[in-house]
Amino acid sequence: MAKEKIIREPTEIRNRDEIEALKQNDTYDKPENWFLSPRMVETFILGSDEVLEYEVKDKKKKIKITRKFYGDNVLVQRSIITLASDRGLLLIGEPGTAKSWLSEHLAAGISHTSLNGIQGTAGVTEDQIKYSWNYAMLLAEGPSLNALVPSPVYVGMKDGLITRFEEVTRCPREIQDTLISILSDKVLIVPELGEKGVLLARKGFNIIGTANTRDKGVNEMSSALKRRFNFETVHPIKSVKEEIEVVQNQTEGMLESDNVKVEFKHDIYELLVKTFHELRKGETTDGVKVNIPSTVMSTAEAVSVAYNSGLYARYYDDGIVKPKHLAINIKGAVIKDNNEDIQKLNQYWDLIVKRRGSNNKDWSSYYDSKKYLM
Amino acid sequence: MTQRNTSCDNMSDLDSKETMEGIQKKIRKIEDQTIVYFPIKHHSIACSHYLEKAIDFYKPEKILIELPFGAEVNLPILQSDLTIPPIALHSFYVDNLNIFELNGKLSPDESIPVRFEGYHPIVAYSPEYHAIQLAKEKEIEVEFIDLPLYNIIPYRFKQSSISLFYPDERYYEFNAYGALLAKKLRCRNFHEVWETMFETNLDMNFQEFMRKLYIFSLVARSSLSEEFLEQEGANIREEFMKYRIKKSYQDIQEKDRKGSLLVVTGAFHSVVLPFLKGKTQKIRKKENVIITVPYTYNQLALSSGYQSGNPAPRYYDKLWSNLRNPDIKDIKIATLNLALEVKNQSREYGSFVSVADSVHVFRMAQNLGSFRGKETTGYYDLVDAVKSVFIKGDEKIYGPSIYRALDEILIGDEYGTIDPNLSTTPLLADFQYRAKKLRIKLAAATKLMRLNLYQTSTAKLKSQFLHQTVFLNLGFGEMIKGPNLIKKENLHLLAEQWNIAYNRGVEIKLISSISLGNTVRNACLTLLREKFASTGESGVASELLLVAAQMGLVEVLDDLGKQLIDIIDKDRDFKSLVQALYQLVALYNYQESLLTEGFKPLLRLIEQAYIRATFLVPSILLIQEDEEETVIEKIKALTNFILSFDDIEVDKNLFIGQIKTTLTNGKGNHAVKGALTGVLYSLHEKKVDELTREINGYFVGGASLDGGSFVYGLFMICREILLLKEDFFDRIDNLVCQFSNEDFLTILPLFRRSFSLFTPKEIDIIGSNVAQKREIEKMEKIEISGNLAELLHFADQLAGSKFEEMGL
Repeated sequence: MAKEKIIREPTEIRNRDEIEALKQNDTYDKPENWFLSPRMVETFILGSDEVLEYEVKDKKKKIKITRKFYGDNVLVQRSIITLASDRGLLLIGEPGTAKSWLSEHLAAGISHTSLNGIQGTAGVTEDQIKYSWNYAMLLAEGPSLNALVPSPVYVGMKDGLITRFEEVTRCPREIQDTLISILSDKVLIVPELGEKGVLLARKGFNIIGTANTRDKGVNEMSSALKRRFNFETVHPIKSVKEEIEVVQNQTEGMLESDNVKVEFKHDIYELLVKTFHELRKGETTDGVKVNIPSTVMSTAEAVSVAYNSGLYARYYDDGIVKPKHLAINIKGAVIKDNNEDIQKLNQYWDLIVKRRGSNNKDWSSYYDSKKYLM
Repeated sequence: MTQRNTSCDNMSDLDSKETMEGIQKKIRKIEDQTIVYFPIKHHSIACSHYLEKAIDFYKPEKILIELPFGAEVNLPILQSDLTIPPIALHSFYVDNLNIFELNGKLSPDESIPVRFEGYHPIVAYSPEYHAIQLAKEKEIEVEFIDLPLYNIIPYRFKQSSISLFYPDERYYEFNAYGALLAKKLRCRNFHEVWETMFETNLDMNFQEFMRKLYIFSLVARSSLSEEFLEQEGANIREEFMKYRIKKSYQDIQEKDRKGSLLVVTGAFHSVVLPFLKGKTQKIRKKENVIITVPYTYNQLALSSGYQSGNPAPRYYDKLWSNLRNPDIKDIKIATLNLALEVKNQSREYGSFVSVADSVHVFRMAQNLGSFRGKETTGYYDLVDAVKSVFIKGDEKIYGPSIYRALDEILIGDEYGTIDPNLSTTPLLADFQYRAKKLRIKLAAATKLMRLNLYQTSTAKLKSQFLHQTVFLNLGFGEMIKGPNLIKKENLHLLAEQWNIAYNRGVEIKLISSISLGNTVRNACLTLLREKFASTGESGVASELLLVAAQMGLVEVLDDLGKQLIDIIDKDRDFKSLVQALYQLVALYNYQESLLTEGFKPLLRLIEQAYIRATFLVPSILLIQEDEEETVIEKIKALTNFILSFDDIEVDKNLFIGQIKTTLTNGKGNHAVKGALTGVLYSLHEKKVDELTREINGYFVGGASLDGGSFVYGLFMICREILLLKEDFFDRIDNLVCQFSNEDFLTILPLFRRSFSLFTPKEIDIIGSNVAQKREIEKMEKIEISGNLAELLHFADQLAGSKFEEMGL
């Protein structure tokens, strides 16, 4: 795929060198049909200080594995072990807490593909979970494997791959329950094919689901289906320092991918992340209480604001990202469907930003940009 | 204390004095000794397991253990079959002579001696305890070689008198090497590092185990500064331990046989002891009191902290039991059983987890352990597996019940037992003796006891005893009904009703309170003096005086009374002083029933509290809104005192003068002003028309929030004026009628607050008066609820058609 035509490469392509290095250095035991061992999957996701040597087309190379997921390391360990078991993994949490991100990287590490997945919506049908038919061929040849259009779950079972199911709880409950027998008995029956229609899941197959705790659905999942999953709650990043690192890395990656060259200082990232962190928590780093907006002030939103600010600086200004660019773009992130949130944002500006601006020029400039919040 | 860095990313950053070559050299020297220095971490199953192998192998003549020197008197208790851990060695010293010059710094006052205390918790799998049991079994002599509490005081109690908790897990907490290992081994904290490296590996050769622990300890210790170790008292302890080792060695028969003397100490000490010369210290037997007390798993988990201590005592106990059971031996079975127990407990708390889930937990825990490089499943693997499998949804919603179950099952709430034939704690013995003498049966089941205080003297004595147990917070008795002199409730009752129950918790509290005194009475006196000395509030101090009287401790009243004079003189809080007055008056009024007629200074104290409170009246204008109600209640109490207390000549004019002076100050809290004005009215120093003039003054320009507050304060003191004084009533009526719609709505919340002070009957009377004034014959009540309904009704009548105009 020509790089310039792709908006976003899947991680197994974006990080192909790291994966190759891990593969070549993988001496650990691994479950059958896994691409990398659990230890190496963990290293892929959490990073390592160790420099790995590997070979590509007879050329020796060195690489350090970068950290992809910031948060609870132990959660990553539990997730990997769950996927090696007979239970599915359901990652739940508030929007923007990197559930899909983690799901993508787990799938890439375990099965070398993160693309075998279903996007859950209210319109998902059983066909999209199990299989459907090429009706032309069905009519022409009758039921056959050729006429069958396999779903990602079918593919995962057949090839022993991790199947991702995003926003599983958005699907109607009865559709979700299709997964019960798949996860329980690891078999998918295609009655139309008779004896040939019994698909037994290959080792390596498992499902990673994600669900949003802001939607009610996660609490209404049937208990029968819940029993087939291990749940992991992904929390927002607790450490401001780590969150800055995530936002900076992500934004820089996205801007570089778009070939957008801007000057984006660390202090500006810090200013943005602190705003998000403090509004999310309802308290500043020095203990002052602030009102929490109804919108989820997630890290993903912070990345979005940073990215948009970068674009704004590049195309509408001098290419240097300034506090005012953040202010211009932050409003859209905070104010979604509740107008009271604008008051809360204004309060934060008047109470916190103004005070900090009295002895810091970036915060002062940030405060002066209040007009963009109107 | 200064310390080197407590975290680092690489060995090169560790700032350690040790090199690998140096370490190996030291280990060779340690291993070459004929004395075997067995390194341990306290409460470690692995250490106990390998220690037993070492003892079996070396067959020592004598075992020296890192426990307080002199505590050997407790050996019969520790070795008794009727003593069951968790227990603790409890050391204490009460510095009556202020030897350490810390009285008044670590205690509330110089006259109050500091009580220094130390605990060495012991569980079944503590290596020290296991060594003691093996010594008994194999008839090996045992000696304790650590410095006792008295000698450690100068090092450990400079900053705080919080009880010292052995063992020294702090060396692991403040350790950069531990933090580095945690990072390298992908562990979340040092405790998990320990578990990964040592605790889950029970198949080593014991010498290999020792060597591994030596290496760890040498590197870890070198990352601690000498200054830190000096300040902790580690050096002085180690020199003493070495002295005791050398002395014991002289008595050993087979000096050349390796292992004839086995030394069991914390690993941090084991790696330096071989190289020290040894230095003794003077040990004062009388000052070093050490007894064995029951302990609880909860206390152990809380005291040792999460980072390096024992976060799950019961978990390890189960593993240890499995290991010791010849029919089981496999500690994995314990993990499965515990998973099932957590499942059961979770179901008690409403979580729907199944046996299949428990089996999955067991398998997942094993897989996690294996993934993390452990030889067998550990604590963290079990906890993580439970978290993943049992919590079926959002952690915030479904987590709490699971975590609660986990804590209860893995920490446990077991109480230890001391051999009752061997242990005699004076305080416990005195409690049991007094209960027996008063014919109070000590039974586990809760019993109701009724005491007719004026019928028999025994009832009075029982009451005093029970009040003493409440004061000591023993959890033995709870008064469920009866006259409460402190809160001035149910004072008409002549009998007290108590629920009493005697259980292990009461015993443990009694045993743990030994440093307070040898008898219940003395313990109460000590605690009373400490609390009295630590308060600067006369209200609190006076309450303590009343409590002392309830407990029958009349002998202390004179002494405390003298101190109270000083406290009252220095107290600058009006509320506290009125509270003091309140309590002292109660003490005076009930002196017959409390048997305190001999307490002569009481009237003088009452007078002094009154005078001092009166002097502080001007200060109460400056209070915040949220204190209004409390302060006005105090003003009311002071006024009632003046009006009702005849036994001394109360200078009423002092109070009146102060109020008048205060009111001439224009600024301040208006509710308080209203209250003070009400007091002047109650004491006939102000007439009705003066009151109404003042109120009108507030509302000249329309609705005034300050005016609303003033009215509220006034009504808090003398609301009867609205019912009894027609002219006042008319003035208020006219005032309200003059309000515009907006003003009325503005003032409505404050007036509502003011009228909430009236009883429903009084509201009815007011409403009738209003109706009568407007010649309204019939009134319809709007059935909404509470005072709002009455107020709206009242307001409706006042306003005539105003509500209709407003469209309500």
